[in-house]
Amino acid sequence: MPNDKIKHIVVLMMENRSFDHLLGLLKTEIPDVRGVLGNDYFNQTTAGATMPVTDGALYQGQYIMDPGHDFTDVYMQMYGVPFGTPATQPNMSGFAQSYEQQGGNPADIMRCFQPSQLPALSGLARQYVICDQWFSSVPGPTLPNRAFAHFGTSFGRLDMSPDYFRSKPSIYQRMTKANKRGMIYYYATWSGTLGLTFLLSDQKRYFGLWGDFQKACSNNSLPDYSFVEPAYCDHAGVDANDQHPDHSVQAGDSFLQAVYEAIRSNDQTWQSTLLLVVWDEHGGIFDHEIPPMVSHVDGFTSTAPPFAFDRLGVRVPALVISPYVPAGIVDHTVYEHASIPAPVTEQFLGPPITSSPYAREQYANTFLHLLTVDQPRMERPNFGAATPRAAAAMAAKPQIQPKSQAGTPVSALLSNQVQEVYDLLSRNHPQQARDLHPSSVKTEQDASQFIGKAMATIHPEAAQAEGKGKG
Amino acid sequence: MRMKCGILLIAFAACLSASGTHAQTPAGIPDKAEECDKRAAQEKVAWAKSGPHDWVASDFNKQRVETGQTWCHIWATNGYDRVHKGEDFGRVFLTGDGLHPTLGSIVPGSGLAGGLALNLDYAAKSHPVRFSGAVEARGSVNGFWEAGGTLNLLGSGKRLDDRHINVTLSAIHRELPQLTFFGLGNESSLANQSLFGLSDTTVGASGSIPLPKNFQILAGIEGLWAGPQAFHGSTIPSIEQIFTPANTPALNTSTGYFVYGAGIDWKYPLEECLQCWYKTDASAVFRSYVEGTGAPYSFRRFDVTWIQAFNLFPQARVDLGTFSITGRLLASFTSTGNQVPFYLQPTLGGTDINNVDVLRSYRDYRFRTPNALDFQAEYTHKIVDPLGLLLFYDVGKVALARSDLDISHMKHSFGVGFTLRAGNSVLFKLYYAWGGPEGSHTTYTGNTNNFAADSNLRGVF
Repeated sequence: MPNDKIKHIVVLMMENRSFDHLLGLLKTEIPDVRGVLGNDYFNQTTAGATMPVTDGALYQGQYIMDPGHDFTDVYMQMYGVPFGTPATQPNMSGFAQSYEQQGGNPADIMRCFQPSQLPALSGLARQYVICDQWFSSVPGPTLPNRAFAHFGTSFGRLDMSPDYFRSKPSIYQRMTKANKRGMIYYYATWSGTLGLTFLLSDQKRYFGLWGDFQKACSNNSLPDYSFVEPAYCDHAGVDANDQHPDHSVQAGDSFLQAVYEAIRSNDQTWQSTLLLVVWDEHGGIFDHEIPPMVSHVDGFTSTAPPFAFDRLGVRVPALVISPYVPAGIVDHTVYEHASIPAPVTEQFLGPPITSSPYAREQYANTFLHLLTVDQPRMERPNFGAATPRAAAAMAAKPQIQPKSQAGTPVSALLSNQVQEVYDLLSRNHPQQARDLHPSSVKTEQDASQFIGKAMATIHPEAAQAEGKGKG
Repeated sequence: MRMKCGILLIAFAACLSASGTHAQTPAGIPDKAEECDKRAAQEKVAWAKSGPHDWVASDFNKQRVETGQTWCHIWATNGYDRVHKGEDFGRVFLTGDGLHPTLGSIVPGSGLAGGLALNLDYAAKSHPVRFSGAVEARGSVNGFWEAGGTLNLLGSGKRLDDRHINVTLSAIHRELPQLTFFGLGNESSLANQSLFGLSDTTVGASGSIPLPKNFQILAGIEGLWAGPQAFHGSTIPSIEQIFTPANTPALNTSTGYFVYGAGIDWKYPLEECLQCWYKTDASAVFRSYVEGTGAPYSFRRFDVTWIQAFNLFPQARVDLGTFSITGRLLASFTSTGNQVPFYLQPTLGGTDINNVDVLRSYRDYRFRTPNALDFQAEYTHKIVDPLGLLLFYDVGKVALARSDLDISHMKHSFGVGFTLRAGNSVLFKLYYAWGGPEGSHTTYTGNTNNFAADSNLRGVF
């Protein structure tokens, strides 16, 4: 359902990092996150050496060899066998071998960031909603995945040839047709925009730059829908901040904060905006969640390689940020990039089932249901940044060891989260709330169970999604 | 896949490696283009299977595969699409990581030049520094050549505004055997046209440090060695046949300098925006040239540039083009007994030795003195991508004495031209200019390194 408080939807799409890689270790402080603890998942190299998932991800210099993420690469990563070898069920076992084949260090592909290394991402994750079941739409590279974000489909394409989008109805043109405004803000003319270049012939209608976005935020003149693109390359003292390997992840974390701060620069803008931060695809980097089957295929299929677009790609990080979402919630709803135009359609154009042109968007889960808070939240996240020196030291720490969380006393943060979830449940489902008692939560295991039960009521689809994800 | 930049930011791998029979053909792309993608995917898989490979080898292989793929795309498409496919091919073939051919000019008068550039990027693991380097050499049909290398170090520590310290180390040598010289001053005569050769070598470092309020500090040090030579391979006289050291400082003298300097740059607004109606870029730099052998040619130079661009009616739906005004002041200072060597003096007329256009209706290097002042007004408008229209009006003068730097008796030029843009940068420029008593001047400039857009000007030159 459209939300009358929301006048603007902003999407920031970053590049090529998996959920476990950026947000997985948040599980160590928020057990409800379907992330990793370290050494709890592993891949094997060609020689049979075990490569566990660990911390130790570095801001840059770790992926000088860009990890493969074309369809054939992702097939290997998901199924553990080379493309062309029949396999029925993904087991996420081929990341290390895939990277090894390219000449990369297979241990690096399993590395994750400590939350303290990414103060902006972690700070926002703690303060707003983590979507831990957001999958790339296609087990493949950038452009078809971005096509889903702009069109709700990739028209049966899995490759990086950009021309196939030409003359198709993107969400921007659909917005224009309905007298709404949808714009792409790319970072700078030297950085460029990805995929929608055919719209550049109508530059002023559909495009702005980072400076235009900042100005629109501070003037409270954002269009109805904004899609923000980071800088895709270094330029004259500015780092590429898209986080594509081997660009600086720290620069991307700063840009994420800058986007948030731009929206916060005007209270009216903040109080009427919903921001989604999401990555286009995993970039060949390990994630443990098995991508689920697609519930409603859209009829487009690929002939070469044969693919029916019936399974999602590898999981990516995603945050929903708004003054109207509760703090610290982990949403287990299954999303994919068709879930980007779908809520835009839902909010501004009409129900996706009738107003979206393609089936994947028509049936995609939207995230507007997360807007459950009545009064706008004005508190700010804690962006207490780890200094580069501290981050380097962190990266050099010994690998973390798995440990049981069961008996660990609940942290203040988690206790707060339990209370917030309970408040949400009490507001929306008072009947079910009677059976839960936040005061009884003493350990992290208690908290995990409490939040799990509450969320199963608040978001019943999340439970279904979990079932699918494990399928 | 590592992304390339430019207004058409496109990556070029495909993952099509097998064929099926049951599914529909995706709309919107010719079958031939799919064949190109399939072949590229097969080559990519074959490379991965033959690994492991080091990252440099992988970069070279990627360049090879993508070059073939984009070349194939040109012939797989028709009509206007071919223009864009040609741009894609140019970007892959001529820029980016790896070894590339380069094409363009060296300086005005060099004629068409070609060469090779090797570009590589690297990011440090343990320090917040990103490196990009290039080595390049090119030679021209008229016997000019240049070779050099640059290494750019870009800070990558945490900054909310993503502005970082930027340092460039460079070493460049040029052999420019026939440059024109007409004598010094505004009143030099066309009849005194002569030729001289110039060898120069620079080795140094320059950098910028971001400051608040959109300012940044500029600083640099370098060693500069330069020497003129006679040129007798033409019907035009060599320089020493017309001029003497008395009227042409350092006519027969090579010089070696330690150069150091600093300045400040200001941009407003800092972030690029399409809907801003103006943009300002101003800089002021002071440099000291200390002659190292004791010859009386030490000097100091003050260089001010102000560029004011106006985006015409930014809110209009139709692109109405950009109007810009540029002002440049270059003033030299010498101690008693010292002079500025003629070959290190700025020039107005046509295009200068740094490939900057000034007083375009006049011959290249037409007016030369230690001091210069010029203003330009330009209007640029996209006709049909990538072709653009250029209208311009230039005024300027040179001055033997700084006190003569004023706006009286300025020479002027106006003209029309066309630009061929690749992404956001001008790949090729052709213009016709007239105005003043010396007739008209038609010229072109180009550089395939600009295919990478001004973001990642690759190669060295």
